[in-house]
Amino acid sequence: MPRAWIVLLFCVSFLCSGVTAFADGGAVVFSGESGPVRATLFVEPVPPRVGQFDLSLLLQDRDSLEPIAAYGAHLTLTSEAFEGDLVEQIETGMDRDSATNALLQSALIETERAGRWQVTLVVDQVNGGFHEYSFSFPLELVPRRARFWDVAIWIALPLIPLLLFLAGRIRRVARELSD
Amino acid sequence: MSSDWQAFWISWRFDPGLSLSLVLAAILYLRGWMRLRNRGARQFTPGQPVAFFGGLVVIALALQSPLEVFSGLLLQVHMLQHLLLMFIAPPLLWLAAPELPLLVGLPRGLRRQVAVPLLRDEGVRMLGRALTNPIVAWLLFVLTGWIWHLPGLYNRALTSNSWHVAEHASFLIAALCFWHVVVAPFPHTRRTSRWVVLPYLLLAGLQGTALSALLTFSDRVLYPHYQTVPRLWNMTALDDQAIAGAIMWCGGSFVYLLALSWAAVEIWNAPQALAGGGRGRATTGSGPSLAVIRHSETLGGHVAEKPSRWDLLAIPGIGTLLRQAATRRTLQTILLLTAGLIVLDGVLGPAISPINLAGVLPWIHWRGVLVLGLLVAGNFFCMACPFTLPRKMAKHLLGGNRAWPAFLRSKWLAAGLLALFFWAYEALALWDSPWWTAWIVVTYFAASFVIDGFFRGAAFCKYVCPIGHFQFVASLVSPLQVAARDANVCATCTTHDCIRGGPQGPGCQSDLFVPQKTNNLDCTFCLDCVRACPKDNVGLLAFVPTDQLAATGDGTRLWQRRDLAALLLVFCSAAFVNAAWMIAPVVALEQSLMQSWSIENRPLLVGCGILLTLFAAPAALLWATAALSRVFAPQRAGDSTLSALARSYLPAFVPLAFALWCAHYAFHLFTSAGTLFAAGNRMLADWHFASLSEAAAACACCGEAASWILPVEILLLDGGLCLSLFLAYRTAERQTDSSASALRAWSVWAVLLLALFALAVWILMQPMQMRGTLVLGG
Ligand code: SF4
Ligand code: SF4
Repeated sequence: MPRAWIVLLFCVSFLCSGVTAFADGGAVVFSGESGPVRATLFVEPVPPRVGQFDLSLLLQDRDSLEPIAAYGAHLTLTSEAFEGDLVEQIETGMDRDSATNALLQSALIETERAGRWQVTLVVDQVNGGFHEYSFSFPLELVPRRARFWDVAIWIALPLIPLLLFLAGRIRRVARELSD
Repeated sequence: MSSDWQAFWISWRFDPGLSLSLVLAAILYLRGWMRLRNRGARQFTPGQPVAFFGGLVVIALALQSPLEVFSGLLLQVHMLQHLLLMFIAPPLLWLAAPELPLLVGLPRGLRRQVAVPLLRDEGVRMLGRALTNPIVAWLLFVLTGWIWHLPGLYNRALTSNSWHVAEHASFLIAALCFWHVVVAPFPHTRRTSRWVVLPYLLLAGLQGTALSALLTFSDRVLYPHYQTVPRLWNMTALDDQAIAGAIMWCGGSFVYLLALSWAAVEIWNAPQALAGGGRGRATTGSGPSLAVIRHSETLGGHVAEKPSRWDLLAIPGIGTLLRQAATRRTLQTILLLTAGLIVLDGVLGPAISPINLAGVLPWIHWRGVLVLGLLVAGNFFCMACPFTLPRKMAKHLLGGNRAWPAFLRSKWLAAGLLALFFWAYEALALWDSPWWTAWIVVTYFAASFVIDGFFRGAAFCKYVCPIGHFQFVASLVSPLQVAARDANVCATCTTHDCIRGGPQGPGCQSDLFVPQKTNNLDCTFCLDCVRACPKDNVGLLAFVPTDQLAATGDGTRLWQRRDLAALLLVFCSAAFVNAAWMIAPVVALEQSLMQSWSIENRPLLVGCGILLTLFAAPAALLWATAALSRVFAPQRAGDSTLSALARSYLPAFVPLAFALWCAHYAFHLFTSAGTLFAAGNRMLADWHFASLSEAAAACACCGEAASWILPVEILLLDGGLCLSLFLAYRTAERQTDSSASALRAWSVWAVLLLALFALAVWILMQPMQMRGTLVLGG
C-alpha cells in the first residue's frame, strides 16, 4: 500500500473531523402553548442519549407565530429513575450564545442516568413582561451507545485505502496473467 | 428588517476544519496556477482562479451560512443548499481546471513522495476511470439524488448531524463526477464524443424534473420532520415543499440549459474530428490521474528543482541553533537538573506517585513527549540525554580507550535489557514507586559513566542503553534522519571527518559513516558529524516514514541479523503487552491466575508472562505466518528457512507497534498532564518555596478522558496499520517472483496485521488504569 495512502487517510479524517459535532436543532421533542406563547423544544442527538445532549428552544407568539426574541428560559430536568432515595435533578439556564441558530436559545446538558426524565421549562420576561409560563414534558434518555460505535468510523477508515489498493493489485495480477 | 430575518442573517455555523480545508485549497490552487502561468502554460487563464474561488465560496456558503442552520426548519432552504452543492459549486470548480494547479501548488516533497505516487497507483487510476465514465457518473448523480430524497433517509439526515454531513458529502462527490464529464477540464481528454453530452444532460434534466414535480405537486408533506418543526413566516409545510420543488426545478433546469447550450456551441464550433474525440487533444487511454501527472511534469512539475530534501538544519535560526554544541549541552544540563530533582523527590519525597516528581515526570510527561517527538521529528531525546553529559569526564578519569568486547558487539544485550526493563516496570510497579524510579535513574547514570569511562566511543548508547534502543527502533518510523545532503560530495571526500573527526570537532562516536547511513539505528542525533564535516554536507533530512524500513539491496541484509530481529521483536510485542497490562480484563486475568494457582510471587508470574508474551508467543506467531505464506506463495530461491522469512517481514510490524506506543503514552500525557502541577507544588511546598495549593493538588486526580482522545489514538493506529501493510507488501514483492505470488504472500501477513490492529483497538477501548494519578472514590 503506497505511503501516499496514509496522507490521504489523514486528509479524509481531517475532513471527517466535524462529523460528530453537536448542533442545535435535531428533532422536536415538545411543542405546546401557555398564555400567549408557543414553545417548541428540539433535541440533538436523536434519540437523546446518556452523556451530552443539546436542548434548544424556539419561542413564538401563539397567534401570529412570530418568533419572540426577548425572554429568559430555565430548564429543570428530574430523573424519574430512583436510585435508593436519590433523584437526580439538573437545573440550567438557556441562552442564545450557545445556539447557532439565532432564533433559538439552547443548553448543553450532561447526565449519566438513562430512562425517563421530566423536563420543566419556565419562560419569563417575555418581551420585558413579568409573567412566567411553564411547560412540562417527559424525555426518554436512551443508554449510552457501545463505545465502539463512537469510533467505528475511525476504525473503518483504513478500509478505503485498503480496498483501493487491493483493487489495483488484483487488476495488475489479472493483467499479468492474461499477458 | 424583522427580528426573525435579522436572526436568519446572523446565524452562521463556522466549521474550522472545513474553512481550513477551503482556504488551503485556495492557497494551493493559486500557488500552482501562478507557477504554471509563469512557465508560459497558456491553458491557464485569469478567469480560472475566479471560477475556483467562486466554487469554494459557494461550498462555504452552502455549508456554513444560515442556509445550513435553517435547513432543518425550511425545506426550501435545504433545497437551495443542495442546489449550490450539486449545480453551482462543481461546474465552477471544474471550469478552473484545478487538478494541475493543485498538484503543482503542493510543496515539492509532498507532491513527489505522496501525490504523484497516489495518482500513479493502479487502484486510484481505476477509481478515477470509473468515476469519470459517463454512464457511471450519470448513474451516481441520479441515484444519489433519488436515494437521499427518500423520506426515511431524508428525515434521518435532518435529525442527525453525521447523516447530514454524509448526505452533503455524497451530493458533492456525485456532482463533481457528473460535471467532470460535462466540463472535461484540462488536461483530461474527452473519452466519448461531445455529442454524448447532449443526451447525458437532457436525460439528467428529465429525471430532475420528475423529482422536482413530485415535490411541487404532491398533496401531502413528504418529509414528516417539516410537519413537526414550528412554521416560520406563516408558511405551511406543504407550501414550503412546493416552493422547494420549484427551486430545484427552476435552478436545476437553468444550469442544465446553460450546460446544454455550451456543449452545443462547442460542437458547432469544433471541427468534425473534435466533436468525436475531444478538444484537439490526443486520447491517451491511460486514465485521468496519469494525464495530470504527465502534464504536471511537462508544464513545470520538475523544472529548476533542486535534488535536495527538506532539511531542518537549513532553516535559518533553528538550524544554526541545533548545530551549536552548546545547544546540546544546554538541553542536557536542563534534563540533568530535572533528573536530579526526580532523584531527590523520589528518595526524600512521599511514596505517593501522583504527587511525587519521580512518579509523574518520567512515567507520564517524559514518555509522552518522547513518543510524540519521535512521531513528528526524530530521536531528539538522545540528543538531550543527560546520561552522556559526563562522558568526557568519565573517559578522562577511567581511560576510555578500551575496545568493547567483541562478543557483546550486537543487540542481544540491549534487547535483553529492554525486556528486563518491561519486566521490572510491571513486576515492581515502577510507575507507582518513586523510590525505585529514583534508584533506576541513579543506576543508569552510574552504568553509563562506568561503561563510557572504560570503553571507546559511545559504547553505552550503542550496545547497552535500553531506552536508547527503544528510541533507535521507534525512530525508524520518524520523518527526520541524519544523512548526507549530496552523495556526490561524499564520493569525492578524502578526510571522512564525519566518522574520524577532524579540526572542526569529533566524529561519530557510534561509528556511523554518514554516506553509508540508511536509517536512524544507533544514531543519537548528537550532530557531531554535522559539525565535523568540513564540507557542511550533513543535514537532518526529511524522509517518508517507510523509507528506512523498506530498505532494498544491501539494506535488507541488515534486518536478517538475529540480534536486531530480537530487538524489533521486543519493541513490537512490548507495545501490546505494556498497553494490555493496564486494562481491566488483563489485570483481572492476572489476579485470577494468582488466586487459582495460589501464586504468591508476583514478579515470578510477571516474568513468565513477559517471556511468553514478549518472545515465545510472538515468535511462534511469526513462524506460523511465515510457514503459511510460504504455502500460499512460493518464495524466491535462497530464502530457505522459515525464520529467515519471518525476520524479513519483522520490520513491517514496527509502524503498527510504534503507533500503539504513541497512542498509549499520549493517552497518559493527555489525561494526566496536570499531575506535574500537583507534584511540583507539593515539592516546592515541602521545601518552603511555596504554599500548598488546593487547585494544584486537584490536578493529581484522574479526570475523565476527553472525547477526542480515543479517535486520535485510533487514527494513530490507522496510520500505523497502513504503513505496516505497505511495508509487508514491499517485502512480499521482494520475496516472490510475480505479482500474484506477492499478493498471496502479502495477504497472509495482512491478516495478521489486521488482527493485531483489531487487538490494539480493543486494548485502547478497554477501561484503563489511570496510572500515575489519584483515583477518587476508591
Ligand atoms: S559527510 Fe562530510 S566528512 Fe563525511 S564523507 Fe561526506 S563529505 Fe566527507
Ligand atoms: S555523529 Fe553519529 S550518532 Fe551523532 S548524529 Fe551523526 S551519525 Fe548520528
